[in-house]
Amino acid sequence: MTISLRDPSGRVCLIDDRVIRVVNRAGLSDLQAFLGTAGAPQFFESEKLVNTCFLDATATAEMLRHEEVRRVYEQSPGAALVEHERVPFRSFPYEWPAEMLHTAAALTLDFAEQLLDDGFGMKDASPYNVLFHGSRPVFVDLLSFEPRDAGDPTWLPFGQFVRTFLLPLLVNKKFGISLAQLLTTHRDGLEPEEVFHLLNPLQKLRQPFLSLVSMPVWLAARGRTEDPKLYRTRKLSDPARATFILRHVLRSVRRQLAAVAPRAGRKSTWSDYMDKNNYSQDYFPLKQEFVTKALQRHQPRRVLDVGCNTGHFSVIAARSGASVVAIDYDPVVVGEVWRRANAEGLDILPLVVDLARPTPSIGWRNAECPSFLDRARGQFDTVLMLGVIHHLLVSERIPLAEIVALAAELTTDALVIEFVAPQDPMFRRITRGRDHLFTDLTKEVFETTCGKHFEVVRCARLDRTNRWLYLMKRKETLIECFEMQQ
Amino acid sequence: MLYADPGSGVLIWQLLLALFFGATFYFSKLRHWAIAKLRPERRSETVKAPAVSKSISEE
Repeated sequence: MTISLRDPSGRVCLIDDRVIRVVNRAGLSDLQAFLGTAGAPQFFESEKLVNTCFLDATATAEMLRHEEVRRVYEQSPGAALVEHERVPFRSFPYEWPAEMLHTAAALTLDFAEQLLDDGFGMKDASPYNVLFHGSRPVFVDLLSFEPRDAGDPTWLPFGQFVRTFLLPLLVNKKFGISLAQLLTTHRDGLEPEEVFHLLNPLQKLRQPFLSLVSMPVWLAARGRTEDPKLYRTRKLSDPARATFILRHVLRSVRRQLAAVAPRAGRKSTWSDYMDKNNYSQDYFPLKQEFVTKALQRHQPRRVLDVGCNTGHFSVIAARSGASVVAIDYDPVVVGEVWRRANAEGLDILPLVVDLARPTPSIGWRNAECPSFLDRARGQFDTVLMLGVIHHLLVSERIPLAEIVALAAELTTDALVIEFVAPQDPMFRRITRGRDHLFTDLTKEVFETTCGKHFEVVRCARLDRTNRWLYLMKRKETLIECFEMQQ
Repeated sequence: MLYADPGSGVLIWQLLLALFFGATFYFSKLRHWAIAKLRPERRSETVKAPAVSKSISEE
């Protein structure tokens, strides 16, 4: 499967879980020059740059057996194959909380600044150049670097950096519009003109709006923007002066980035849920004990925590040695999960994904960026669905059988799921008087529905509440285990 | 209606920043030159210092 097509220097193909990049002659020359710089080994060592190796003749010949790689390779005379370390779960900027977009921007600036000393520049500055390995950003596009004209004082990707990082972060911070809304439909970010319409007269004159939005809009209106000379390459006779200018432009961009950084400790409907719920004192310790034991028993390698809230159970799973993808539709709580995972170095990738309306496939031919479900199906050996199915049942009106069927698609082995009966106070609160719609939903119905896909391994009532926790195993897994034993 | 080029404003803004920083480059050079001129005097002060401390220790 080809997963990149916009880069003129090469294409990335996903072959049997291996990430292969076909680099054409022009790209190869830039790549080799970049790898020869003093900065490149440091980037690899600090894990800021994805691990990469050139395939030797034997490995190349083997890889060319795959039709897709061969087709791309044959279209690019003088091409070479490189292999990147696979980031366990691909995510896209419209699934990130503001904290992650901000840290991806900071990483991009690190590259731009540090490469100046090596006489290198960047071809682009897009969040699509960055992926997250757990909570850690990794720059994955090695073809973004090129030797810089020593006399050129302009940072070529300045506009793209403003559009794809600074303006979405600014609009998110000041107007509360989610990055999912902004970036799902705007692949190349926001133009200053689009943000300008949102501003009142006072805001237009205040920083950071003045330099990021108002000035560019006013200058575009007054300048002779139809003049092609505007885009000509500029060259100064003194390279030291050009580098000085570029370094200061990058510093000013970093200051702007600091100004649009998301605030810590933001509040949302769900940010205090763990502290302010109506359950008894014993409810939460019992739940935690059940989940911890389930994780200890199964030692999962890859966990999906659906409706992770502030990530309490994601942290437990990560500490038990699993690589966790934690999803929730509230960007504020997901941002908090990222802050915690990043501070504690936990292998948690928090994403803003609503399981009732998961991220669709978007981009060219709807194939550039696969949907969340396409990336998630069968990728996890344990799925946690704690305190979440009643929201899907009531607020989203998803039938129970559908929820269980999806859980069976996502996990290859275990499911830890909390059943919340209609008598539960939270369940009743969200039904808003439509309790009669759920009179048939009982513990027995729940177990029968789950029984189509899963075998119950363990069940426990949480204190005296109308909530039960289940550890289940996928039936196919049980059959496979049985067959293996035979 | 003319084709509006929305990205041009950001580019012009960057060029203005570059002009500003380009001008400060010469001030920066001047500052470095001035510091370099002052440095030898400071060095001579620091060279004198051990001599004084030596004389104190001799006492």
